Amino acid sequence: MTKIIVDDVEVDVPADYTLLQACEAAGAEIPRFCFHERLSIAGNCRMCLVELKGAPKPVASCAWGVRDCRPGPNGEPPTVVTKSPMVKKAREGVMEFLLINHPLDCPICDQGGECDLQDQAMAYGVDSSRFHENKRAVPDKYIGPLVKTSMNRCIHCTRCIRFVAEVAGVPDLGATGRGEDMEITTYLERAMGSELQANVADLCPVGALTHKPQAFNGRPWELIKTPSIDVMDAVGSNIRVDARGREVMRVLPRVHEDINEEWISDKTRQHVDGLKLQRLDRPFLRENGRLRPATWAEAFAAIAAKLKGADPKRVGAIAGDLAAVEEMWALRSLMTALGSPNIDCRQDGSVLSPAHGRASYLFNPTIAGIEEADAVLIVGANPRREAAIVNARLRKRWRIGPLPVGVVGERVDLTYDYAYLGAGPESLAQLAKGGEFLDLLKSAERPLILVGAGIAARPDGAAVLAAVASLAAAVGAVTEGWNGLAVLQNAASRVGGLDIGFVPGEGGLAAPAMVEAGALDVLFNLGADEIAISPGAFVIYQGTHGDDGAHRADVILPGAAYTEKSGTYVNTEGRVQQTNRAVFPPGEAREDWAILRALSDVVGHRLPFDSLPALRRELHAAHPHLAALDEIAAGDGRATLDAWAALGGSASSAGFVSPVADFYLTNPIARASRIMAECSALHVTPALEAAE
Amino acid sequence: MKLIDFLTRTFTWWNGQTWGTYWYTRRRGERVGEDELGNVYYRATDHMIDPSMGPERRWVVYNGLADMSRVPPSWRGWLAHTHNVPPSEEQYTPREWEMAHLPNMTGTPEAYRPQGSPSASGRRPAATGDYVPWSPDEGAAGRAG
Repeated sequence: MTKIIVDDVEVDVPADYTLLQACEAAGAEIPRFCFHERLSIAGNCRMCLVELKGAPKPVASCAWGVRDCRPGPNGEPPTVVTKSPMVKKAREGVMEFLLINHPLDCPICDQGGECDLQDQAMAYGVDSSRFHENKRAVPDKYIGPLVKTSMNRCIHCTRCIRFVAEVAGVPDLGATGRGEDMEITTYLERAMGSELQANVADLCPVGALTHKPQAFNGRPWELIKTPSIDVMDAVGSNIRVDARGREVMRVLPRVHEDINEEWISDKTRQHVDGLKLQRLDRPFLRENGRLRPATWAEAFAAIAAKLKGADPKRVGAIAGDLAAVEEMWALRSLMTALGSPNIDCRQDGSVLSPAHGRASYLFNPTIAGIEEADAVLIVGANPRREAAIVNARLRKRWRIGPLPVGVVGERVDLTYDYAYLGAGPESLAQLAKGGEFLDLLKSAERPLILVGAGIAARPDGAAVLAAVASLAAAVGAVTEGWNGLAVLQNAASRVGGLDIGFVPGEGGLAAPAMVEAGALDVLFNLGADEIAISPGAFVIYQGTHGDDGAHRADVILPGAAYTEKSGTYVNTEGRVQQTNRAVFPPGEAREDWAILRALSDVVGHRLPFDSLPALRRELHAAHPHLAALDEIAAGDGRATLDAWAALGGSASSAGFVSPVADFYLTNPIARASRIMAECSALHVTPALEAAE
Repeated sequence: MKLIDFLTRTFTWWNGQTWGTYWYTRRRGERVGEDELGNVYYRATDHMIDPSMGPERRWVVYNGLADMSRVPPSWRGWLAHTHNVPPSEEQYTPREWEMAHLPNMTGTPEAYRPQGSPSASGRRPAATGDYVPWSPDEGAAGRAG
């Protein structure tokens, strides 16, 4: 710890702090453009100049370490002044230089109202310019469908370049030229190839990079901001839903240090136009082979008529990837009341089960815990596609220090170096027998074994999990204080569904068996669109979008998307979080738990709750850990290893394949989105074609 | 004179002329010309008794409905003393931007609707909060994108 005096306030800060951090610790506000807490230091905007006693000139506080400061003549701590006339003049001068080439675009600029340059020009600038020559003009660049450029406005802070190079890990942005001729460019005028690219528009302190889909759509001060949780993947990124009237205009990240820091993936951010396309806004009923609009009463009556004579053993329910815990609980209660054991929340046919303990389906080391891992083995997952935020965290850990990473599965670009160990279960068995990488894992103090949820959905899933368990036990992945077994889920609803036991009961059928022809008479489909249902059964589809599930349905009940209800989601770490309602569901659509409650009355098994708080009281009484928001209830890792090891079967030789073939089109909302379709056509289709 | 003309001239002011105008025109009016719609233009024969009181009097007797918008631009200029040579006495060619007569359509189905009005196109323009409902007839190929 080093003492330093900032504006007559003496503070004690670590020696590796920069002056900027020391000033903030002392409560002084330092303006900045290029400095960002999560990126490397560039020191090129000069806005953070402060006066350091003894230094002949103002110093850039972001790039000056506390340990570089010289003590006073009598050994007193170094003194920094942030409010002196010299600092004020320095800031005014820097601001005047920055504004020389900045156009007066504010009235037509999408950054207007949330612009760092606007705010800091008001706070630290002067009211006029002495520059009377022509301003510099820079051609706009094409850098993809998500980020719009207006390069005249660029002040060369290089935050975007540093983000793309450091966090996203792709070589797509750079600068050409020097001084006034410097230009930010992709060199080749092609789209950036990262799943995190839209974050550069958030980072841009001016309006040079803005969100293309939201161009000229609204102003920040007319938006209602609702904190919420993302459901596009199982990471549970913290987001802010900005709505105007009844429309979600955009999604922005919220800071959560343990999950997404302050990044979100492009799918999380730009699927929002899918929320207003292909919406189910009224009940539908199939008559004479055709779906026709119906009233709620007609739809419920049709369901009740079908359920009345049905054998409970031939009634089933499948919950999809976007369902909140509340509606799964309501549906589970209804199926229990009907006497049916056929419920499943794993539409991919996974063998992950609460029977193996809670640790068997969680990302046990936690996402923040990735930074503590000292060796990583990725089995059958492509974290870049299945959870881009987790992949960014892995890359962050890889950049901090040497991190041996091994991959068994697909050979893809993960944005960090790894040792490729093979494609399938045979390679996994080979690895367990010995070799260089096994030694690395064994010598590691905190080895992390990242298991893709896709491997548990294989026909030989049980055998593969048993192999993983024996490997994890061999390398000591589960010890006192460290559980390195990390199951990377890819569906937002999955952990919540497994937590409340939305799995087949005694003698019940699992999802793949339920959808087989002749297995069931009545199937309740709660938003499961990624599973093909054979003809025969009477299918009730409750969901938000007209996707595959709606086309197969005999009755459609319109539900609410995650921005339109308050729902509990448990992320892949087991962290319990809640979404909030930002807008109302369209048309006659209702919140999902309320639909099930109303339906239960019509079919004669009235559920015992009349409000969301009452439902949650019952839910929390049965599963107390769901009441603790933002908390993780850890599972027993050793019990999981034992349970997995007891699973038998023989593994096939087929290689592991990530269940997420197309990052941009994984759920009904994203598939309805035009932006996501454009991104998919741009990035995924050419890659798939090249692979063929 | 037909009976209907006698009655309209007696009881209405908006068809052609009233009896007052008729007699005044008979006594003082000098016919100047007639436009393509059949409206007849007059000026006072004795001018004003004292010219310093103002310019000569000019008026129009409509052929049918007394609607000011039925006066063509050429004659309107003469009526309003913008110029003194009546169009019938000169070779008047309309400018390209002078449009043919269109009566005031307010209150009729052809009334002017501003751009973006639902009545103009029959379709409401997109607004905040709109969404596209799914329809079962579109089929799976009807997905956006």
